[in-house]
Amino acid sequence: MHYTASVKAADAVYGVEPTPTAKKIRELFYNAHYVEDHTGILYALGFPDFVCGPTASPAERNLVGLVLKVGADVGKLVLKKRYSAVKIFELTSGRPSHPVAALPGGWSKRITEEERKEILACADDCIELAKLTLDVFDKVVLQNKEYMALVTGDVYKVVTNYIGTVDENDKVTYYDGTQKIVDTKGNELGRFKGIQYLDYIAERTLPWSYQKAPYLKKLGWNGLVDGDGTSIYSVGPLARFNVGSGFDTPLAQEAYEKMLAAFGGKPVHHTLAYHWTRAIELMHAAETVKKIASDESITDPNVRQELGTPVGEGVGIVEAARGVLIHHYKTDDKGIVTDANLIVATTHNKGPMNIAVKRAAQSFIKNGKVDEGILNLVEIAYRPYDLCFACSTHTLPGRIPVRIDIIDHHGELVKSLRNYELS
Amino acid sequence: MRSVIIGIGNPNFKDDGVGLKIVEYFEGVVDTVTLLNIGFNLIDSLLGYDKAVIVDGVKTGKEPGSIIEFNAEFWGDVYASGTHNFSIFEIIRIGYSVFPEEMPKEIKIIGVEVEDVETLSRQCSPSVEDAIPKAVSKIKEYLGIN
Repeated sequence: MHYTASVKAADAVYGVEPTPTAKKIRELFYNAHYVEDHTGILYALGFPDFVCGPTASPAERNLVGLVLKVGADVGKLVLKKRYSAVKIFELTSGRPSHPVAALPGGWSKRITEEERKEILACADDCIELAKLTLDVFDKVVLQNKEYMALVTGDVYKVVTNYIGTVDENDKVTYYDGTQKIVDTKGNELGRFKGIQYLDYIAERTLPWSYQKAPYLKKLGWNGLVDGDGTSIYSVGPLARFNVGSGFDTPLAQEAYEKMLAAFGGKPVHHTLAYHWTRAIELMHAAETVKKIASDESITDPNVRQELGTPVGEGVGIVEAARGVLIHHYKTDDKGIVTDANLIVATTHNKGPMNIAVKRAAQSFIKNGKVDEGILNLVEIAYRPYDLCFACSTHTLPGRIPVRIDIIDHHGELVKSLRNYELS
Repeated sequence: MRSVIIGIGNPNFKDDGVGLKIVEYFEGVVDTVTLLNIGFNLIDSLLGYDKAVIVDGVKTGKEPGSIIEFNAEFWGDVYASGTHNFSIFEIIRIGYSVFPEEMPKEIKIIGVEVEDVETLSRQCSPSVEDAIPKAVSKIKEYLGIN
């Protein structure tokens, strides 16, 4: 995701548009990555909360537990089909992970006719994977009254504005488009592209956090509060669902309409619905891969523009799987970066995630009674955002440390829960 | 017997690249894979092999340059509680659950205790650099490579 945002920013730094073929290959590559990314998040992190139960212990509530419940054959099918997306990634970018094809104004890895046909076959696998995923979601969540009460209830609900990317027909798109903003009622507040983001988004530094808190500049900073009048906003799959007028592929559109009918309209503020929209987008990305790979012109050898002198500044914006991703570079006359600003999805979602955690804590901790299950009920509140802390800490045993301190009304610590051992 | 050595890390962040440097010693000798980060791609890299070694920089509080070995007994007891990424152990457990026949019969994880994984540099800290030949020897011994 960062790779693509970065090369789009590099395009802008050189003031060059990629060739039509390069743009198609980039979009193909990007949608294949969506398939792989959404699959991992849904099956490893999202579905276990439902399949294994929201208060199941971490020993059960994971992909292994999910496999035990739904069957090893399903698990095997998911991982095998997902590998088809990885294969497309390799065919379009030169490597199965860590691609090596991006160039300002182009793409260095051309696609041969044989590779195009191979990608088409892989695309069918991705569509099968998406059908299976929507089916699993339907059986496990939508047909379970208890879980649907959780999905549509008020505990996991954060009322914010939304930003997402749409194409010229106002449909959800990922690689390129216009960023559209809607308010808590779904009314459009504005649209921006590239460097115009500075007119719409401001970042506030908070004394208690390393992370800045973005908000809608024109509404002004109103604090970390949700509800009508708030200036914070959410990004990601649910934001795209709320902002766009649907999807430009048939099976994804069908799934979109089903969700729309279930909620009786939009915007939908129920955060667990992020998982539902993620499953719909998995289908959309798979169908988009097939659509692009069906176009024989992607084998055209013209994949690179000539570069001129850098213009000195560029912004690249993509719709990352977990939300709007902005790369903004300033460079010297040789194109070397002298200043950079990145606003990533987890930053955009800082406000909503904090509110989600607070709401879950206030809902589940009653009369001073807390237990280990609360750790997960709080995790459920922020997991839909698929927040991405740096993966490079390499701290064994590899857990995401969560600590919950219960403070009484005198400010005294009553109890502390954590999911890690102190060394 | 088919063996693979998988190095994990980012070569641009000083000691974080130690796993990749160790893997370089085995290129052309056995199959090698380098991963900048891990997810299901780790399972992709393991399937079809009899024996696998995973090498990574780790932070456990020991002296920088210490070599720590992990095996099935260790990861069998570890569960991830994740938001976005998975631990090596979690991914391996998933691999064994879903592909019991295709996963390696033996997997060893060699961790090299890191000192600095934040400075932008392709050169490891001296203590970590010194650990590289020791880790290489351990892997050679484990895989029976002369």
